Formats: sequence, C-alpha cells, structure tokens
Amino acid sequence: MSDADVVIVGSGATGSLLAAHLGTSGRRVIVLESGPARRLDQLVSSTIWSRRLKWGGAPVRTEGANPVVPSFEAGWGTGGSALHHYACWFRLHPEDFEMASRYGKGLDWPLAYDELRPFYDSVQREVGLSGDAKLEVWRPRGAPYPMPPQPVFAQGEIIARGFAKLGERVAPLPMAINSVAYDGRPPCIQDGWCDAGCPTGALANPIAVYGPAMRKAGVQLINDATVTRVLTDATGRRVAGVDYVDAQGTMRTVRASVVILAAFAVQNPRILLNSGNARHPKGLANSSGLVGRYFTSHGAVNLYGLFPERTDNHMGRSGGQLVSQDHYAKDPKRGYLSGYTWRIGNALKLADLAGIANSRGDLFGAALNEFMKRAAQHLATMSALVENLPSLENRIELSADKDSHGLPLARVVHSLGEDARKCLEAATEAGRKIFTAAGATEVWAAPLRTEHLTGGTIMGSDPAKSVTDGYGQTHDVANLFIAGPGLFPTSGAVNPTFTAAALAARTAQYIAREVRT
Amino acid sequence: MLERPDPLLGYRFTGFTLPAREFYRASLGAIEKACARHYGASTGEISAVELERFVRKLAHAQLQPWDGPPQALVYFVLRNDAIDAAYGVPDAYASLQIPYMAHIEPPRPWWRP
Repeated sequence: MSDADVVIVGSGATGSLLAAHLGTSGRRVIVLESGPARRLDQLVSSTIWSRRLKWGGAPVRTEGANPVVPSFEAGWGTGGSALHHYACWFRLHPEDFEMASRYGKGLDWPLAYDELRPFYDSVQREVGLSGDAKLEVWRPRGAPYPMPPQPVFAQGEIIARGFAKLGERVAPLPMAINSVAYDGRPPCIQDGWCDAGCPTGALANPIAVYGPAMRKAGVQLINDATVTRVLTDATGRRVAGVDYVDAQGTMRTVRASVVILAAFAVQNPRILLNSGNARHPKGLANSSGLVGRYFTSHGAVNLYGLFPERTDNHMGRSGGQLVSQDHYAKDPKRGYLSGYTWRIGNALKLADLAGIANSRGDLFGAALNEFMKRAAQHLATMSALVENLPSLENRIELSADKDSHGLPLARVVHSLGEDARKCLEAATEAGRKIFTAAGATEVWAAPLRTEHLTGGTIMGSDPAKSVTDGYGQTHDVANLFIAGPGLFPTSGAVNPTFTAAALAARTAQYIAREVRT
Repeated sequence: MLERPDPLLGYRFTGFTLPAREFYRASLGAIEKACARHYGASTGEISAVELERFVRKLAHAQLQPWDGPPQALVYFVLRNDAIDAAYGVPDAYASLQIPYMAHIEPPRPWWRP
C-alpha cells in the first residue's frame, strides 16, 4: 500500500500547480517542501525581511565566468521562488522550440509551440494575466489576456519617449498580476513590493492561486521536509517513492506510484545525482549522462538614466511597466545567434540587490548619500534579457562538500557563450541610445549579470540526448517526472515561469489521463 | 540576524561559502589588521578622508597584504549591510520624500523579530 498516489517535491509555481490539478482529479497527493511554512499575512513589506523568502537550503557552489545566483533566484518555503518572483509572464516564441532545426545551433524541443499553446491559454485563464495582446505585436498566437494591462507611470512614459524617437515599439508588460479584481483576488495597488512577496494576492503567487484548490482537494503539504533520494522498485525501472528528512531530523520514506521533482533547476539534478543505486550507478535517470548538463541562465544588463523630471520610480511593479521585443527575433546575419527582451520601468526600492543604491555599486559614504538624493526622485531603469544558447559545459554536478545530512552539495558551473556576449554588447549600446533619446542627463550600464535558472534535466525525443520526454517523464524510470524550467532545452529571451507552468499543466493532464496509480 | 535558516544580512546572497559568523569575523578582523598596517590606527580612529581612501582600496582589492575573504566580496557584503541599515528602513524613505507604502509594516527597529 502506498502512502500517496503522487508525491511532489517542491511547492513552487509548478509543484503547486501539479498538486492542485492532480488533487482535483482525484489523486492522493503529498507535497514535500524543504523550506518552512509561509502565509500571505507574514509577507512584510521590507527589502530586509524579504530575504527570508530567498533560498536558505543547502549551500550551492557556483563557478564559471558568469556564475548564477541561486541564493537570489530560488525560494525558501511554501510557494518557492514564485512567492517572490516578479510575475513577468511571457510565452516563448515558436522559433525557440526549433533552434537546432532552424539555425543549426542550440537544441530542439520535443514539442512545438502549437502543442503547448492550449496550455499557455488555460494557465493564463487560471492564474490571471494582464496585458494587451494587440499592442504586444511580437506575441505568438494565443488567447487574449483575461485582464486589461497595468497602468503606466512617469518612469515608463519617459523611457517610452526614447523608444518612440528611435522608431522602436513598446507595449504593456504581460504580468501575472491583477489589473482588476480577478477570481476573488484584488487588483494591484502599484506599490512595488512584489519582491517582498505580495500579501494581497494581487500577484499570482502559488499560495494565493493554488492554495485553496490544494486544501479543497485534500493535498497534504509537509514543510521542512528535505528529500534526500528518489527510490525505485527492484528492477530499477519504476519509481517507488522518496526518502526525506523531517523537521526533527528523522529520516522518513513516502511510497508513491508517481514522483514529481519540482524542486527547481539546481536541486532537481542534485537529487537525481544523489539517488544512484546498483541499477543507476551514474545517478537516477542519467543513462544519457545528461543530468545536470545544458544548465543555462540568461545574460542580462540593467541600463540606468537620471532624468531632469521626476520619474516616480517607486510606483508600479518590480518586474516593470512596458516591454519591447523589436530585437527578439534571431538573425544569424548579425554575427551572433541570440535576441533580447527589454523590460522597462521597474518599480525601485532604495536598498537590496535590485535597489537604487546598487545601481552604483562603486559609490559609498558621502558620494552615495548625494547620489541617493537625486536618484530617489529622478532615476529610471530597464533591463535586457538575452538568450544564452545551451552548452554541455554549463552544468550542475556534485561537489566534494556535503550538507548537514551528509549529502554532496550542488556545484554549478556557468558561462555565457560568445553569441550571448555579443548580443549583450549590442543591447547595452542600444539601451544607451534609447535613454539618451529619452532625455537622460546621465546614462550608465550595470555590470553584466545572469538571470534565471533553466536546463539541467532537459526534455527531448531521443533518450540518448535528453533526460525526459515531452511530458517531463524520465526516459529511464517510469512514473518519475520532472517539472519546472530545468526541462527547457533552450531558454529563449523571456522570463521562464509561464512556460514552466504551461508544461506542468500538460504534465498534469498526461498523468491524470494516462498514468495508473 | 546571522544564523540560518533565515538570516537577513546580505551575506545570504553569497551562497554561504563560509558559515556567516565566521565570514563576518574574518572580514572585520582583516579590515582592522589592514587599517592598522596602513594608518597605525583602527577604522574608527582615522580621518574621513583616510577612511574613504581605505574603503576605495578595499573595493578594488588593493589592500596588500590581506588576510581575509576576497576583498571584493567583503566590500559587497558590508556595503549592502550598511545600505540596509541606512536605506532599507521606512525612515530613509521619509527622509528622501518617497512614500513607503507598506502592505504590512516591518518591525521597528528593523531587527526586532
């Protein structure tokens, strides 16, 4: 007798979606979340206290020319990283699914955009997206947004002026944030506290969106439960459950017919690599040797400008107000295969990594104080998100260092490829021109950085060249599924949460229809 | 504020290459040693001009010899901790005439649980 039909590791954007969908379909579901329990009424509006929501589990060793920052990207507690995410919800473009076939670089997905499109449409209805599908001229085919776009404030209007002068287009940023009351959740009040976690439920975090359905369906959520390994049956061909360490430090086992790893792009491969057994000596689901490989992060650069007029940069949403994808389409004639998205007019706080003070990391003391007086009233910003092609060398592997349970930590090696670096240079130069055209008196670019965590457990049609099939089921172990952006063979140049959620909805439908428990 | 699982200081973003308490002790100790070597006094005793010159050298990893965590990391973490104290609190917003607009007010002082 199993303890559950389905055990899901992680309660973030995809784990919660899967739990709600599968619970509602009648499956007995247990969710194991390594972080603590969270409630919306605990989400204090503070850049300092918001750090509780950032990754606090086993340390991650990061290396490479452009290291990733899991301690900022990942979440800690119920809702995972989606509890503090910026809610920029984009669709990948059709060509993103066919990079190898179309351009001879990168990888192909095992499914085309049109196969995922119905799930983009259903998830956007379920979650609630705001935007303007007509003005967003680059948007792939799909149902219009269920809510009108968010308002634009002075910062967005000022920067849009620069785009217009250069003949480039902008549109409202598509966001998983209510612009009007939707599905019992209130509209956003535009105060820019998204990164600290939205306690009103206007921002579609998993607690607000999927919490009620999970409770109604009787899903059992266990916090402070760190999964140490995935178990298989004696043949090694079918999943049997997981071992986890509970809040008291006791090792426990959950037996289940289906296991879904939804612990984000770094911890999913770490769990698989730590789950090796006699049948799977290289780690579970790793006959291809690709668990941890093709790990990818976007390249990103923030442009800043000081303007004579007030920018009201405290108003709006952390993710921004407007979008431009005039340079998204891939064109090998440029000398690089990459593209980028501008996210324009982010609401700013004074402190923290993305705050005003860190827009000039070289300043301190009296010079910083003088800068803060000007910037608090007159700073504007936008950021370019740049596609980085998948590389075998970018990887997650096991470190020689171990966590408090004696398990090897994850070691993450990541560098941006030449195509991405060239595209970042082009975006930076373009951004300087846009801000100058908009009337900025000072313009600068922050140091290049990485953003988002994708790949590492990629999906594909060929078991020798991928870890899972198009439904996220591992090629090697039946009923063991992966969820989240770790499945992406390529990352496009957009924030990954919407695509991760659409894939998870597709996986949930497949399990509910096809998998016996 | 230092102890896991929920430390609030900027060191959380570094991925905990060392236990936090060990990192801060090593960093502050190295700074004081370097300051004593350069100026024959502690950071609390040198002039504002000397302190600015000293911090600039730290930011550019130019304090030699140096016996602590990487200087750029020390500068990044300690600068962000100072920014938290100076600019991460509601009073700072008021002083810059920026509405704080809290959904849920943070504790005052900020370190009160």
